[in-house]
Amino acid sequence: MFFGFIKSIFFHISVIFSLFFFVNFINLNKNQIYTEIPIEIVEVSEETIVKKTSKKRIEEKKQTFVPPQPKSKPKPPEFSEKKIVKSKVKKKEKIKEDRLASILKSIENISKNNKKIDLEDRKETKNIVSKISSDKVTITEKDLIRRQFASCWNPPSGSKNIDKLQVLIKLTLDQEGNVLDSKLIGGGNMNDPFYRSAAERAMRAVRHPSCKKVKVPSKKYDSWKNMTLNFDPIIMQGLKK
Amino acid sequence: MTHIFASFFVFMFFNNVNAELVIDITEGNIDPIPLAITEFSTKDSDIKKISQDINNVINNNLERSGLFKMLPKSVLIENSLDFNKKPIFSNWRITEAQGLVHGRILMLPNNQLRLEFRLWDVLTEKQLIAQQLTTKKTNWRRISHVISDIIYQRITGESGYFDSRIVYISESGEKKNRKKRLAIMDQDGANHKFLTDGSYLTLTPRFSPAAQKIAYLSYHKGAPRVYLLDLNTGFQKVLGDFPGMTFSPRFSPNGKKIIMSLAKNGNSDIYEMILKSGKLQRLTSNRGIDTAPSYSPDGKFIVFESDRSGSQQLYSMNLKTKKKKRISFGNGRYATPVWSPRGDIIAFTKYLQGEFYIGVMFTNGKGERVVYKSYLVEGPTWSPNGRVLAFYSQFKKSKNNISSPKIKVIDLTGNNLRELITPSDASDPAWSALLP
Repeated sequence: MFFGFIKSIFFHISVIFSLFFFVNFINLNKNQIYTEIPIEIVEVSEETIVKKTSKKRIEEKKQTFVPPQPKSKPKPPEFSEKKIVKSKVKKKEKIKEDRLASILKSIENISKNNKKIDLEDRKETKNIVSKISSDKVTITEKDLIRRQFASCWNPPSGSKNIDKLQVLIKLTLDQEGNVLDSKLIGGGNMNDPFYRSAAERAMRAVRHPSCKKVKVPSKKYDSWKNMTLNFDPIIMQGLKK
Repeated sequence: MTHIFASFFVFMFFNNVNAELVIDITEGNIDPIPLAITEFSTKDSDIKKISQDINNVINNNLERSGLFKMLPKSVLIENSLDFNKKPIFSNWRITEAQGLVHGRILMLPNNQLRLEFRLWDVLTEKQLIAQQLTTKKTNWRRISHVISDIIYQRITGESGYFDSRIVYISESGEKKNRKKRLAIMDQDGANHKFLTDGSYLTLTPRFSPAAQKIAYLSYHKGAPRVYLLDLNTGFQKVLGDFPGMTFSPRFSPNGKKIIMSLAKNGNSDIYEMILKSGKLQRLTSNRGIDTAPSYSPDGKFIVFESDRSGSQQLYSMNLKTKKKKRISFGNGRYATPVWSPRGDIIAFTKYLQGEFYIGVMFTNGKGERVVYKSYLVEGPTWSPNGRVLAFYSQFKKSKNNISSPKIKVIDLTGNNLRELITPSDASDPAWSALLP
């Protein structure tokens, strides 16, 4: 009776265990299936952003396995034939171990160095890009300047040969955006009365009281201290050939 | 290798950043240019009134062009400026004036006037022009037009059009017994004069390039004929006595020839006539109706209307090679093309879906644009500088009530439409060249 009871306990325990493992097994598979999907999604989403880094990683890996690395070559002196001749089997084994260790070390060093260089490069580029993006005049800021001068410019509408009446004026501004100097550039023919009139209209625009102080972003002085205005009446003209 | 690429990239980026900021200004403010004209100073009290009149004529001319906003006297800081002193521009900038005109008038012996004036750019503080003109005292109006032209040309780059005249058909009387007379006036409506008495019908007058002769169609003695009227002598003669009807005359740019239509046996073709010899040369020979020819300013081409393709369209013709080319391809019927004195544009009349249009296109037919439309608009004519179009129009007041014809002027951009004031109804305007 007692023996039978123990038997049944063992049997039930074994059944429970087998069931538990079976369920766990199923759950693991399920978990794997579930986890695979989000990983794939994450990978896809990351690919578009960090595609270059993944390539770089591949490149790094490739570099680490490329034998003719300039730094790895002179490192292992154990490769010299003399030592191989002198050494015994144990030593050979040690040397083999040393070789492996040295190779691994050199590989580690190279990868570390490469990583360092890459990080430095990235940091440098990041700094430059951040500097550039902060210094560069944005499209919105450009549009503000454009609109300001459009209100001051009386274009030669309806003139003959309107496509030849493009006028370029170079401005020099002080830090507050005041026009210090304005020069006509581009070498148009001032003997042509139409061009002369167009040039004078553009000059009047930059001397207009509403445009004497240009609406520029104060922090980006280096970007706009010199600017060129291209007064082009062709788009305004309804009579484009 | 990667470092080389990286450094190259950085260099390019910096290079790009250091490039100068360029802003494209492709839109502008088409408001008229504010201009201040002070009264020309004079020590002679007798010519004070003339100075005021000259000031008014110049102001009206430039204002009417639509390109200038003349500042009223109340706004002007000083009503008269010392001719030999540079104006204080900072004061004038307060008035919004971008241009400033001031001058003086001196009385000379033999009733002669000497006018001196300066035009300043208030914003750039530069003198744009300074001129001295002498004329008879009675000629003050003409000298005002000449000064207006000088100011207009110096600021816009285009020659002016104020010293010119317009000839037109003056209409009066009942519909059934309409009197149509040839009349002439200055472009601003002043110095109006009738040239014919209205006892016979006159149509389509055209100025000679020297603005001293007028060719027109008249039913004098019953048959329609092209006549030539000399404005200096008042003498008129018929241009050739042809078996058919002649109409749509127009002078060549050098004034030595006349081009017109001659209708024979129900067919109309274009002929060119040498005025001196009376020799006639046929330019088109087509079954269709070819009419309304107009010379290009260099005299090498003509543009005319023809229905040779089945519908009324515009054609240009090289007078040397006699090659013809259709230039209008839009919907509707095209008529009365007129080559601009500037040479780059052709104005025309178009009829489409019950309405008439005045339009412009480039000489190759491209860039067609409507500048005015109404129930009836016809007879476009160019100002001497090719900037303004004059035409006559009638609009529908109600179903059976149509307005009387009036001459209107409009800038070729389609802006600044104005009516030309005439003593009676007016049609068929023709603008002269600048007076010699």
